[in-house]
Amino acid sequence: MTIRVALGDDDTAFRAAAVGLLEADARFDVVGAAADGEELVALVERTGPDVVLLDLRMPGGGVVGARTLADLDVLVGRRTPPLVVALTAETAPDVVEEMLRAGAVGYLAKGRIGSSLGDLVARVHDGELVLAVPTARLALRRLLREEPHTSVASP
Amino acid sequence: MNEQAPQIRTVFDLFDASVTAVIAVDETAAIRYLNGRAVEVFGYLPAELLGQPVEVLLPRARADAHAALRDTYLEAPISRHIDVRDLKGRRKDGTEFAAEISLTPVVTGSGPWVAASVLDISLRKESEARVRRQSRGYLALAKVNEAVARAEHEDELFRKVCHIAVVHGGFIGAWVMTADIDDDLHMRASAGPLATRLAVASAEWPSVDDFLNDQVRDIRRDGGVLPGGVRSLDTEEACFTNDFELEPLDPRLRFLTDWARSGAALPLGSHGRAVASLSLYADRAGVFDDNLRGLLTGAAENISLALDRFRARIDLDRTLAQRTQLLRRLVDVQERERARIAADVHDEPVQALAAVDLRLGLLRRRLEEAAPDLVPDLAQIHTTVTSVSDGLRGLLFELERVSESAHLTDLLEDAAGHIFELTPVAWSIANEPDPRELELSVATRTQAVRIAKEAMVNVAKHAQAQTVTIRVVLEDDGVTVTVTDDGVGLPPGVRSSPPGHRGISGMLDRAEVSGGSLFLDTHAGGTTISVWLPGA
Repeated sequence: MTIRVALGDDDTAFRAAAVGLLEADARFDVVGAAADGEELVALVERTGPDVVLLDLRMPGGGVVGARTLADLDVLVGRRTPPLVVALTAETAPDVVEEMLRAGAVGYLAKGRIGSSLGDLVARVHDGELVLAVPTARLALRRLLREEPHTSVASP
Repeated sequence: MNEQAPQIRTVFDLFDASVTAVIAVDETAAIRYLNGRAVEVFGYLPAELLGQPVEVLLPRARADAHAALRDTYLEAPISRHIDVRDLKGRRKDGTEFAAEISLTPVVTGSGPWVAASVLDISLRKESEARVRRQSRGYLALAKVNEAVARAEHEDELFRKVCHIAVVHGGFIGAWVMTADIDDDLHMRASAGPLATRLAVASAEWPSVDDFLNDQVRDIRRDGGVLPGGVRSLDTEEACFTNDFELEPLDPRLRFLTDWARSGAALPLGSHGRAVASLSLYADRAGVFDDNLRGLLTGAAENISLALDRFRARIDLDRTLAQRTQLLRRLVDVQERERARIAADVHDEPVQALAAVDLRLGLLRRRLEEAAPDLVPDLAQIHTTVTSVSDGLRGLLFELERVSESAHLTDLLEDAAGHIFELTPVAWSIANEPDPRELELSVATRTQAVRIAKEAMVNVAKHAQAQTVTIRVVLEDDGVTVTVTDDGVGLPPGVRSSPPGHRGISGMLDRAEVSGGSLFLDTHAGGTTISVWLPGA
């Protein structure tokens, strides 16, 4: 059974590369790619993917996008919400922390993934929490404190 | 009896030779004798006094009381000093003088008399009063100096000086006026009953300032004599008037001359220019003798020193405020520029490299099947791409804007994690984030992070340290961030940044432009760099 993946990224070249890499991999079925949050939500509602790869800088992406996707089951009565994986060049620990708080279960740092993208997405789909980002440890330390030190925009 | 001694026939021979005035009265208190000194002291000729009742030599108000006391005394006369306060004699011209009087019963051929020796002590009293006034003057001067040393600002000092002049200096009115750039007068402080009188006189004007300015304008226009305060502001010289009756002020200043007899106005200067004038008024004529003028001039000089001090501090405060503002703008502009660069870097090279990274990944999968011998070459290219990508990410991190809601300690922890990520250095943060860190301005937090980052980068690159500790200490007036390592210490001459070393000049510049300071302690056992930044 293939893993159905949707991609949200406003960079055309990156989108094409990612889609190309995943489509070349028999484990995946890319249901579509969107260039902003609205388009992505529509895509996810329409296709119900297992995993959403989400850029942080794309309009409507990042924390807002992750929250919206996490709430989708409530909105349209979908069976299970998609697994959200951040795929981004942002690596600041507080950003990683915020994404995890917003429900992301994977965080992949752009530029250092290469051929392992498929493997990482598959592991997330298998239930692992994958933080392929050099600041993961710092982000976890922040996350494990009781109170978030950064003010996260309220849902 | 010594033959050489002068022959003294009676006690009156002795009195004749006395330098003390002596008069003698008989049982009826009629004057029967007076010596030469008594003639001088009272101004009567002997013939005018002999046979007169002794009361002619006393103040009229006391004559009756004296007559009663004198009868009692004469019933049982003894030698005694009259111990009465404010004893006074009266001269022929009606003037009175302070006196000390002693009585001695004398038996004469004409019956029992009483001789009274009279000492004119008015000069002594006068000099005592002068000494009292002088010591009061010195006390007041000491108080003024204390106020000069302690006052925090002009108005406080002016208020205290006026108060001291009235309470300790005995003046009936004291005030300080300043003239603004339009030559308008402002009453900055005042004290004493004359100041109250001034307020009453100006009751019909909107304010005392308006009253003064209107008066002064009129007097100037009519060519009249201005009050000392205004004159001293105009001429920058002290004005003393010892008797307003002899040197009448303009009639419009009746509120002064009705009450005061002497006046002084002392210019108070700052940077050699009169900026204020202290006016003092006394209810007696002739108060401002050389001694008091000297005291007052000294006091005015000390007050002027304090004014210089206040102005210097105001200038300094203004400069500091300007610098703080400038810093905020500078940091803001810098940060916006950094954010712009960060966005550009992120949008183009980072995204492009991220795409290349993925394409290389795809290519690798294909090559693994089609041409496995090319895979190592591809892997090498991929490594290069990854490291360039990491470098750019580092740049993004470097350019990252400090967020409004980020604790300084968290920011430093992130920075340390990033900088020491690929080094063997064991780093630690010595403190927990403190909510008060958020009270530091973003500009301060930004500068603190940037300076600490430079210090940490130097440790990572040059110190060969095993451990590094970062500490944030909040203080009342600012924050200190300390980076301590156990490395080899900074090379000598590091302040001028040797090649390959970013040195501390950048950190020093950042600290100084923020109004803060940098402390450096470096030796073979390690380096501690502390930066203190003001909290605003």
